[in-house]
Amino acid sequence: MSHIDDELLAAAALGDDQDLSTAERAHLLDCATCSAAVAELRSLGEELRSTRDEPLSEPTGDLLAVISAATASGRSTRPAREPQTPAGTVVPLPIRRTPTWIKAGAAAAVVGGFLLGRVTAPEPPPQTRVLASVPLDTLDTQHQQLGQAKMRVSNSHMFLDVTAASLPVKAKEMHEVWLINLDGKRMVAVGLLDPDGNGTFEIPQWLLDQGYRIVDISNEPDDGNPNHSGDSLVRGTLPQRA
Amino acid sequence: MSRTDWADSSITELSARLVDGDHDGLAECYHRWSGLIYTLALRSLGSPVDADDVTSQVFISAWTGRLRLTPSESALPAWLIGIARHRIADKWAERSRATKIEGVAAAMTPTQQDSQEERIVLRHCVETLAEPRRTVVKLAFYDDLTHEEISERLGMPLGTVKSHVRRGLLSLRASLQEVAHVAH
Repeated sequence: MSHIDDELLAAAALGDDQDLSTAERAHLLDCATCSAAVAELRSLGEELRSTRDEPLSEPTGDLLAVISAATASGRSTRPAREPQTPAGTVVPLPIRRTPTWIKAGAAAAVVGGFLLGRVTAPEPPPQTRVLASVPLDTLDTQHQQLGQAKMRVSNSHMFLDVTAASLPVKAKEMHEVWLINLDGKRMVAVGLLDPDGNGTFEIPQWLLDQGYRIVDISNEPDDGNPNHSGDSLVRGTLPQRA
Repeated sequence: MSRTDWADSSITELSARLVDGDHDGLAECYHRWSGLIYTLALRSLGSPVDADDVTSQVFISAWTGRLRLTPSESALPAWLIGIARHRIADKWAERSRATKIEGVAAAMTPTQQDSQEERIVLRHCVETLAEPRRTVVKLAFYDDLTHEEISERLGMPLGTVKSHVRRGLLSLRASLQEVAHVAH
């Protein structure tokens, strides 16, 4: 007889031999192919039982936001890294005189441009999207706003822009930016503000996802101690979906 | 009859959307397989942070490398698992370079890793079985109910219960074979 139907092989593997005809049972004893299939299905059944203790987990962070940011440009090449220019500083583009021969060439290229457009089209401008902007307020009862923190995505990297020009400045002291976890127990040092009170810092998304969302600026004496001085000047909390 | 629940035409269509550069297609891939990829990474690496990292890398790599994917009825999940294997291996290489950590997973033999991976893939296949087959399969294999007990509990004819359990098992076998063929 021909080989046994898959569903009956599965029946045999599950111990439902009574659902097989006498001829089918006899075939099973003789046929190496069918008995191997039964053995395979039986061991799959055992393995399947063992997956009872193998529950699936879900990512802890909002990874889709990271993935969307990283793939936002729709280009298949890796995006270039963001140059580290301080926030708030507009870098003027150098004005160059265009030599006449390039102008002539450019005019001629317009005709060919239709054909070459796909190849010679300039890179699109870096995609920047501001995700959140929060005021940085003093911790006293007055909650005076002395700064601003902004999260943005540029070229698929996340950046924290901090501006806090009106913080009190003392000689030989620095202003350091921290991200404090909402659990109130953990914090990471993000970096120092420049003398004008500005700073731009690249932040991994997972840090935010883990709850490091309180932006804190501390006054740090130049004492070589890498820990937070305990002297917080201002704070602001980034929203969850920054 | 070895149709699997992965191997439906919507996967071919989803693959084609991904290859075409459709961002929503990528998001849908993420919703369907991020749990699987994350669990694979988490069981191997033990660290939720690293598993998050691997998971996002896998989907970003899938996007950047999407032109290498040939849309078919089953290639996409297997392809994602293949990418995940590489990213997990990279993570281990990174760790051993940095600190020479000898964790549990590091000490696992390739065979142990394979069988763990297979169990996770199998579990994911169970979770993606169409209802009511999923419930029947879980009652049979996880709760160890007899076919008669399942029939009673679900108010489903005994023959239908048997058929779901058998076809469920066959469908899971086909899913595993697809992953093994494409991803290795």
